[in-house]
Amino acid sequence: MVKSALYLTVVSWALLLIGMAILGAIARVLGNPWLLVAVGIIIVAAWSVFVYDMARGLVTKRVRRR
Amino acid sequence: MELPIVVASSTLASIIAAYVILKCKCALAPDVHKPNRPLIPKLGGLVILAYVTVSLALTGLGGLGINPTYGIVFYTTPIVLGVIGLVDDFTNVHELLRVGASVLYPLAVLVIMGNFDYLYFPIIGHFSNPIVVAILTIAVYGVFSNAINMMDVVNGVVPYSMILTSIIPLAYSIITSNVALLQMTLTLLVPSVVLFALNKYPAKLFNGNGGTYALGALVSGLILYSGLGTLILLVMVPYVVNGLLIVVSSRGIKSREKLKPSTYMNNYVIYPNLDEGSTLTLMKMIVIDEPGDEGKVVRGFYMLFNMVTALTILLFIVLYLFRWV
Repeated sequence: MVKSALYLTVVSWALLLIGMAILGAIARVLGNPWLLVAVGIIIVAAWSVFVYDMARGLVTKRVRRR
Repeated sequence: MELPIVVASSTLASIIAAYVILKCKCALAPDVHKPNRPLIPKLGGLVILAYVTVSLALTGLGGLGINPTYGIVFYTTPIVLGVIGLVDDFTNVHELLRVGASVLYPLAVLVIMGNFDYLYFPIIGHFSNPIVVAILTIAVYGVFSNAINMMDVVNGVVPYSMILTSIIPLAYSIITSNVALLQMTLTLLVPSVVLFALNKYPAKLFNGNGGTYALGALVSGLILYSGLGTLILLVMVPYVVNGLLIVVSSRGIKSREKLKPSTYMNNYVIYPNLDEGSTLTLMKMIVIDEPGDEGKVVRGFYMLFNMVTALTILLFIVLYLFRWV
């Protein structure tokens, strides 16, 4: 029943984990807190755009099938 | 005071609060997803407030075992936001005031008290710059105190997810004998269990705005001050996704009444609203595959939270074995 929502949630979970791993790697290499905040904002923004587009895509796909 | 006495007294206070609310039958709201729309009390926030207030009063600010500034933010923000939520349950508080309070109160405490300590997030690392700590505090409290309120659309989902969120900090506090973290975790877990017993489908008590804001503040505090923030954030992914979908699809932060409904009901079966401009939510994503009654939607939400919790517990085990938490 919840295939679309489950897919969206698990992909979002995995992408957030990857984003935080990238942030952690950058923190270890650079260590500048301001650069880290800037990279963090970029990662969150990219994650948000991707997740929202994916959700809209899943809705459109289900509507077309009806 | 000893932790078992504090926990027992606070639990008793929250159970008494729940009993009084059920007996009083005041502040009733219709349960719109049920036949005959039964009237249910919506003061579940008092259950959380009773626990947090008694716990704080018995322990005292000096006995919390964490940085005193962070202790004040952790234990008083749920009280402040819970009271604002209770007022909101009776008379509508403007959404900007609600969001503003969730951000400005913890920030004001940090600025007035000073004494910043570092924050630790597994995988990412430490943050010790006071301005960065303030930005993180604003972001976490601002997002989660409101994201939890946005998800409170069907019975039982919010307290159920709070119980799941408590699993990792509870396990970690027991493994490492960290009494301060255990007390913080129990402050989220115990009132959530009491609330779940009464709010699970079919609900006898609603969380209300008071309950969701207070729970949001508690979970925000755990993200910031438990040292397990990354893992708690991962368990909370459904909330973040739902909040993101609502804010982007409705173009800003709006009260529930001003949003174009994401679903509609026909014969007590919930269908997705496919009209142009309708709000996109996780509930719409659940019913878009197969419409169903409220019980089915609730099980759908449970499945999402069970999945992310299971994945995060596996991640926690890996991180713990490699000593990264």
